[in-house]
Amino acid sequence: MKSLRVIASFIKKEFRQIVRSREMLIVLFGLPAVQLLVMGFAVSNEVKNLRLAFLDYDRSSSSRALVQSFNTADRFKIVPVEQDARAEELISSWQAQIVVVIPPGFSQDYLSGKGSSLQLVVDGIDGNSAAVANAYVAGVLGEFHRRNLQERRIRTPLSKPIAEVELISRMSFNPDLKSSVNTIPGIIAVLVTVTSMMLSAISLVKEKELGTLEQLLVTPVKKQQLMAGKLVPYLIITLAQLQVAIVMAGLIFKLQLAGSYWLLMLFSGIYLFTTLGLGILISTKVGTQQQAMFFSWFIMVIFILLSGFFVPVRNMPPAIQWISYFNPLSHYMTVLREIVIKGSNLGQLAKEFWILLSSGLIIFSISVISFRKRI
Amino acid sequence: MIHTIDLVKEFGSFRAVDNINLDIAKGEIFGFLGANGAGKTTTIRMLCGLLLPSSGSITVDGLDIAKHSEQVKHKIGYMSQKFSLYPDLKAIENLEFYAGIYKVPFKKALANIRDVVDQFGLTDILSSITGDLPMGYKQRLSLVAALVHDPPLVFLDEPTSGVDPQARREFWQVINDLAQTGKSVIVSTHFMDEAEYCHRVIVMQDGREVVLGKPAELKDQHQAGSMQELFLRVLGENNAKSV
Amino acid sequence: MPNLSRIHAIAQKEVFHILRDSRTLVIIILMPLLQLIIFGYAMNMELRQVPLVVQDNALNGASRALIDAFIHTDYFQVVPLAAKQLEPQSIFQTRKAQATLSIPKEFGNSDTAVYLEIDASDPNSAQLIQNYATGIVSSFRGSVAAGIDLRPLILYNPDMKSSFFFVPGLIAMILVMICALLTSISISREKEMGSMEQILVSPVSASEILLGKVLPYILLGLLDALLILGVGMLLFQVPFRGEFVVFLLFTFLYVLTSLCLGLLVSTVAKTQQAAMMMALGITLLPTLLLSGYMFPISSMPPVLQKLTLVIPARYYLQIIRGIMLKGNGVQHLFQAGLSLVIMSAVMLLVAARRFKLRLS
Ligand SMILES: Nc1ncnc2c1ncn2[C@@H]1O[C@H](COP(=O)(O)OP(=O)(O)OP(=O)(O)O)[C@@H](O)[C@H]1O
Ligand SMILES: [Mg+2]
Repeated sequence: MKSLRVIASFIKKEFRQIVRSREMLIVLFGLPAVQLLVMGFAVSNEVKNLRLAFLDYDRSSSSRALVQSFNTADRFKIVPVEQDARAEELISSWQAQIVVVIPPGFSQDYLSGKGSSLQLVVDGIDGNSAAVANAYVAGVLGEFHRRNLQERRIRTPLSKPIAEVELISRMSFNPDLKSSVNTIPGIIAVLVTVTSMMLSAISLVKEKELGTLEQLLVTPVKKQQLMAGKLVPYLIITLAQLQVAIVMAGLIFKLQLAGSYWLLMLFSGIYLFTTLGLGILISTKVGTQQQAMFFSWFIMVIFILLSGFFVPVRNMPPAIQWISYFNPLSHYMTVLREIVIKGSNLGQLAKEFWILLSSGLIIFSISVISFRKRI
Repeated sequence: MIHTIDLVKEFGSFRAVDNINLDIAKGEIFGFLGANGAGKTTTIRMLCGLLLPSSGSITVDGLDIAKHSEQVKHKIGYMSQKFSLYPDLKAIENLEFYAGIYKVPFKKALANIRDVVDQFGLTDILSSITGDLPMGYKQRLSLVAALVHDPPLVFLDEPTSGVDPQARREFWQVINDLAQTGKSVIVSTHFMDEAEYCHRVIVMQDGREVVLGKPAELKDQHQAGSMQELFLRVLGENNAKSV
Repeated sequence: MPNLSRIHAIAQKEVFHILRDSRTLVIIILMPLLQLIIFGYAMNMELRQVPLVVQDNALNGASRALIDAFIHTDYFQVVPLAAKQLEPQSIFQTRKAQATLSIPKEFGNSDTAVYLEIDASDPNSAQLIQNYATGIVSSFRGSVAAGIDLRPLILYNPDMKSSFFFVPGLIAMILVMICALLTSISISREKEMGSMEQILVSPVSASEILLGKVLPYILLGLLDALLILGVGMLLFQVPFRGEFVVFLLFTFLYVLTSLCLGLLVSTVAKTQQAAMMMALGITLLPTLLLSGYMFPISSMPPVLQKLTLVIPARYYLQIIRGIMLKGNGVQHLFQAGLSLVIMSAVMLLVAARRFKLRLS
């Protein structure tokens, strides 16, 4: 029981230090809020407002109708260009990202059903946007063609109906395909990781730099008390941050938690053993706060890149998929997304549960050992 | 209280402390003298268990500190040469924290240090942020913080560096009072007038003992008028010997 | 007039600092390389072998042909249905498949519709899956009437490789990281340790101090950038189509802007920790998120799009991608360059003002 009191003094001290430092408060609650906001809106692989230019050499009513049909969604932003420009030049000078070239005689060929062709010139420097742009244009053309066929069929009702397969698709869990549904849980997972790791990585070196660690070491405080005294406050702070993030996600991005809140907390608690352990490990290995920052930052960047935050792990080559299997953030991110979006239960997340639990146990034990050795 | 046998500390091939034998009694004020780098801090750090000796042994109150570090730590108060309280906490919060660490109820801790706090006139600054205090007050506060658990052994590594002459007198008044109540106080200092207040002193050079004894007797032995003179003389003699 | 030997003395001291802390140096060199490799290989937006559960209630020729059409592409991979009943939601919850296809009993006869249900928790993938499926189904029914043949011509990056996009971006990242982040930390460290005062009492002028301090970082940044460039070109065949001189010219401009940013941070931040946080908050994150490094600016909400106008990396990204991939010359990049110049000037003015205020 007395041991608990020692830990309680540590917790009190840590909180006092944090509350007293305006910078720390900003870092802990201001910065994450801004990140959630900015990233929530900025991180999306959606491709919108593509700068589209037309070089219409046909100048017929069909070609004008075709240009019109691009005018609907927010996918394109049509930029007016000189009609005697060259497509390559428009793209090279950053005026347009895609140029649709309508050749002379297009409408004649098209209306006669002989088959017509369009030239599409795409700026390929962003491979992803280029691929998406290509698909968008194909989609618009397909739609244009279908509408035309229907009109023609109406005008000539005698032609026999064509048997065709109709694909009816439905989007589960996210019918509006909002990208925030996917990115917000990801950002929250990243925030939890960054906060817990940074705090614990700095914790010991800071006391070392200040000289207060020496003072602590002449006291009878036990290593496990010192460690608990550091980690419990960080655990509490990170979980508090998580609550704020969940509330903000609900209020600003209208993201409702589909699954169990307590399951989410359970997984977060387990996951934090890994990140806090890693942070402490870093803290025992480095000499200065600056090194602690750089190290934890390095690890976090790798964690984040291989987590499926930007690109689903499934898209990666097998070797890298295998590496991300050992990335705890990747599993935690999966868990967060599954619980938040689909309301999955513990049974459906059993694999992740065991992985996170064992990673937490292993890394935490290593950090305890290294902590004992070092101090 | 403290007994050391052939205490040695090596950093790589460099001997920072070389064969030091000490025997410090209860209620004694014991002074460490020596030039910069003589090995005072290193010795003190070994005595309070912050550093492991390369060889030799230390017993505190009959307990081997290597084996009973836990028990020994409860008996020790330590004020480091470098200021080492949390600058971002209030003075009183630092005291509260250390009381908690030593598992002393805060009320009891306050009672333990009440006299010293009064003597130092610290009552008014207890609620200030520690980092904003003037140098002299930080030093005083560090001494107070080392006393929250009423330890029988107090280590003070250059407690009066950066402290004004008036306050230095107060410090020594406090040190004397602590010894009166039966605590052993181990002090290191560069001020030779302070050495006069010690019951016994050791003068160190290059990690070795040059002389050890009561200030009055040492002065007699070496025909020195003051500690200042004694200090310079023994170091000079030692240098002459080693050449 | 700045004195060369003094600058040299300060720069030498700074080089010692950098070299002494070898672990940080290793991270500075390794981190971008690692990112390069991960981005080059792992950042792939294409989906392959999407696991698909099929429930075929028709079991006739038409349905089998349709399923075959799905299997024959590289896009889908059919996984067996374990339960009797097709329950897409629970399949998605256990992550056995990302889509389910249900073919009704009368398919091929009276019925022409098939039902595709997609796990849209990742909307981007969901969109792609829908596109693939639509493509497969429409080619399955055969072309009904000659439609419009789209002949795409992908300029500069015909294979649409993501490394072409990320390698120039990384260079922009590295430069801002080293020039802004490291300099601001190193200046605030000296302030914190009191050694800045020591230097300030010596007869060294402020410009000498700054030049001496930033030169080693400029060098380090440029070396790191060239390393990325080299590795990117060797490993991922990223082209360099423009003029190297133009590249150097604009890179120098960008380095200047980044340094001004670092300087500004260091005049505001009191401690190292604050400098690190601020540098992270106003240099790294915005560069990562709002410069167009990863996410297209045009897709952002209008407010954020406005915000990107004050982010130097935004302009440099256009510049370096233009030079490397498009072979742009000065005439194409003039505007972006001008924005960098204006930004540097403004930041330098503010920093100088703040510096003076602090000294008085
Ligand atoms: N961790 C260490 N590693 C290597 N050498 C050390 C270490 N700690 C101390 N030393 C060396 O041991 C010697 C004794 O140092 P110590 O700090 O004990 O001197 P001191 O008598 O306290 O000096 P001062 O009056 O300056 O405080 C010095 O030469 C010092 O450089
Ligand atoms: Mg010392």
